[in-house]
Amino acid sequence: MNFVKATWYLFRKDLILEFRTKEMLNTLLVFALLTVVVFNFAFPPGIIDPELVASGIFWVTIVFTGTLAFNRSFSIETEEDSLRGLLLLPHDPSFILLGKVLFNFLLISIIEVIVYPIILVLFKVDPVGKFYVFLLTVILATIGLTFIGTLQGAVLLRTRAREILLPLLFFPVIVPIIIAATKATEAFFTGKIDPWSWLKFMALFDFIYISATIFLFEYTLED
Amino acid sequence: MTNSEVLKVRKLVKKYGEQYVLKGVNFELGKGEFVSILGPNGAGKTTFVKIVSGTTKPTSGEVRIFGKDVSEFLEIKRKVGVLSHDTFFYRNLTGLENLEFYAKMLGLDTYVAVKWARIFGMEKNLKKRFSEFSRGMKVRLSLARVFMAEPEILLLDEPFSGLDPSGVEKTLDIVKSHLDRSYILITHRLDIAVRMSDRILVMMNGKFTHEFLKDEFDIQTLQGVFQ
Repeated sequence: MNFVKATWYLFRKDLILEFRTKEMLNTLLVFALLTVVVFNFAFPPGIIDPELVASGIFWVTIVFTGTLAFNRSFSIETEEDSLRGLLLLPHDPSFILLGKVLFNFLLISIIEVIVYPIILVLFKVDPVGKFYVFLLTVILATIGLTFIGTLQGAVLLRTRAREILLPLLFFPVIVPIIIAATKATEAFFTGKIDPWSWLKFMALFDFIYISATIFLFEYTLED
Repeated sequence: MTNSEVLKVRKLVKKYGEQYVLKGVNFELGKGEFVSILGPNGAGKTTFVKIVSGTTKPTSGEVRIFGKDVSEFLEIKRKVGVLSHDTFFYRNLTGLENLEFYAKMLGLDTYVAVKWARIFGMEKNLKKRFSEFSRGMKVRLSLARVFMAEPEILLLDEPFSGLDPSGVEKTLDIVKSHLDRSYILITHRLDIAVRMSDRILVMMNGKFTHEFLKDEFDIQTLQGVFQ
């Protein structure tokens, strides 16, 4: 029995629970769609350059929605103290982190796939860049978001006001990734700026975030 | 550590901030021995169990299971089973899915999980969601989870809370039929401790304050300690 299998079984368990209850996906979807609609009213197309606004709105929507997912991913492990059950297993505890990161990555990716065409339609954006640039942007940004968000979900697991505290901790840390993702998406939408410097910037921050998360996760499990 | 010792705890200290929860605890558990730990709430009993099972790190001191440090040898966790008031299961999974999850995590096949569920009379309830289980069923499913790993040391942390008298008796019968293993029982039930134990320890304020061997304890004696 190895670390990879343990990670897979945890991911699969979360997937089964989600397909059975659809608690997370339904909530995240409604929240993401409401956010996009509200922004659509706040910035009606024609008043401001839609490509500039749409890239920012896409990432703000993803970050807002992500905070809900990150809060929930660890709280399901508190209902019957199943986190302790996981810690009793003869595996390095970082399998818990990786399993949760994978599940959150999947959830956020689903939201991105649904929100992206809606934003294009509502803001009447016709991207001129290469699609693989956007795909790379989304993958790099989502990796950074899910690692830091999952870590912070674990940090706040035993705090009472975690719904309030998570955005306060999460948003400042994630700012570099969001700025870079917005700029790279803007490059894809308009073709006026070079996305590669922003993609490299994101890759660097992903490296920092992943390293910090792996190093710090063990301490979050302490009572 | 002698050959018959399965667990040895030396100078165990646990601090939360400036507060000492365990104050230099020493403890040994022999092969096949049944030890009960009694004590008021907040004495440090559950913290002791969490450290022994490797889910909480001590501030200082050492825990050796079969001579190995639990923090260094992850595989040694297989030898320890924990039955707590919390079941560690997921409410929206069925009984079978819950057992299967832990079985797979331990590298066991599903049939092993089903076998242990059958031993504890749970085979007919395996397709029900865990949220539909009675407290007695939850405890029996937890026993299946614990025993399927074939642990040699069992830590029972208040396993009887919420059980009706017949549920307690059924659980005790199961334990009695597996007395070839070593047990640590944390309980407030003096009667159960007296019936089951080879040795009883009393913990107060993070220390073991009293120790009673097999022929030295009865309910009156233990009640006297707490008065």
